[in-house]
Formats: sequence, C-alpha cells, structure tokens
Amino acid sequence: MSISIADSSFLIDWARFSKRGLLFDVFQAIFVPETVMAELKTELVLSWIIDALSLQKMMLFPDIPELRAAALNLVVESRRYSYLKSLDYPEAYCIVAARANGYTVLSENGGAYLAQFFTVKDVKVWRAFEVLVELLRLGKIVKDFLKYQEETNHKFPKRDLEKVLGGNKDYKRKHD
Amino acid sequence: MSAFTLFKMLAPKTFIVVKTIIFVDLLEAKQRLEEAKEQRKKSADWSFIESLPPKLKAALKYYIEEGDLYVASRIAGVTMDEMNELRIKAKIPSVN
Repeated sequence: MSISIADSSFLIDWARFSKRGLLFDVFQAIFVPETVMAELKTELVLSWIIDALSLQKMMLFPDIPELRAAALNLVVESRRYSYLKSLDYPEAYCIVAARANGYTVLSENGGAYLAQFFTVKDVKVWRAFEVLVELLRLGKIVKDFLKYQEETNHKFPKRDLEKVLGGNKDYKRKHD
Repeated sequence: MSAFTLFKMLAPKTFIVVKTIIFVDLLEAKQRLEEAKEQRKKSADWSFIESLPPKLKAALKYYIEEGDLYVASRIAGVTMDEMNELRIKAKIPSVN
C-alpha cells in the first residue's frame, strides 16, 4: 500500500461517503497539508479526520517554504496552458509534495486531474473514482459508485463509469 | 537500406501517430471540462442561487462555470468545507 496526500476537495467529498473508512484499505497513510485543515469546519469532516489523525491513519503535512515556492511556480506554469484548467495553490502544493516524496495526490480538482496527463506527468492524481476502482479491484466494494454519487452529490463522468461498469446491466438501467 | 531511407519511410508515420494521440488527449480534456460545466448548469437550483446575497450568488455562479471550489470559496468569503455545503444546497453536482 502506498502513501497519499489529500487536498480539501477530496476530503470534504469523501467524508460524506458512508464507507469512508475503506480509504485506509487503499493507502497505508494519508497526509493532510496543514493549510487544508484551515479549510475544514463541518463536524462530519472534522470528526472523521480527527479520528484518523488519532489512529495515525492520517498525518499532518507541514508547510515547507521550499515546497510553497515550487507550488507557486507550478500555478504560474499551469496558466501557460490555456487549453487546460489551471491549477490553484492548494492542489499545486499537494502535487509538489507528492512529486518530492513519491506520494499519490488525492484531489477532486479537475485541473489537478488533467495536469497529470500534460504538465506533471511524473505525479499520479487520483479522484474518488480511482479510489473506488481500486476498492472494486480489491473486492472491497461491489456497486458503490452510485451510492458514492448519491451520498456526496458528486457525478462521475459517464465515459469513466462506462469504462469500468459498462458491462453491468443493473448499473446501466439505473443510470439511463 | 540506409538509415536515412529508413528514417524517411518511418518518420512521417511516427509523426502522425504521435500527433493523433496528443490531439485526442487534448480533445478529451476539453470535452471533459465542457461536459462537467453543462452538467453543473443543468442540475443547479437557479431560483435558490438567485435568492442568495451577491457574494454567495457570485461564488456559486463562478463554481458552475469553472468547477473550482477553492476560488469559489474565496469569492464567498467562506472555507472550502462551507462552500461545499452551499454547493450541495444549490443542487450543483461536483463533476469530475
């Protein structure tokens, strides 16, 4: 199992999922940048993260000046690719921290997800979708893609769902 | 056969293949962003959004256009977590 670093967009969505504990079946540890903690206020999200911090399944990632500078550079660099959604500082910080330490980034930011195919090809960025695919592969879940979408008001792109669940008739009937 | 002749035979084909792959990736990236925006627009509760104070309304409209929770939360003057609650109240799906 590998280590990941998560931004706010991922954590606030994933925390609403009733099977959120399964995240720790995929990653042995999840770093939460200190700046991300400042973005979390609701009881549901905070209690989940605080529990995970006390169980040492999550750890705080410090604010490191060198990484801060590298993240800002990455934000500026991403503005050069007008055809893509540019990166914002929080996910850029996760990306540079992941690049320096070999972590996987967990983010629901569209710019961060697409960046891995174009501008930061040496970093892996996973959305909840990829985590669910991994859980499916591990046999930990069966039909929880719909459940996740309902519980978090999150919509996975149809093209991604069809790639993974295309052959599942029950899924197709519910989704059409 | 000389190396140059081999290069002349293979280079155009290689170039076309590489160009096609990059083009398809970029096209898909653009399509993904457009499809996500459409889905957010279509699902949003516009009467709820219009009833909100200017800052929150502007933040949600920005979110619908860009899908960017961080900047939207800065516009609204709330944390990302609170912005996400507002997004859910406005029935705007997070599409990614």
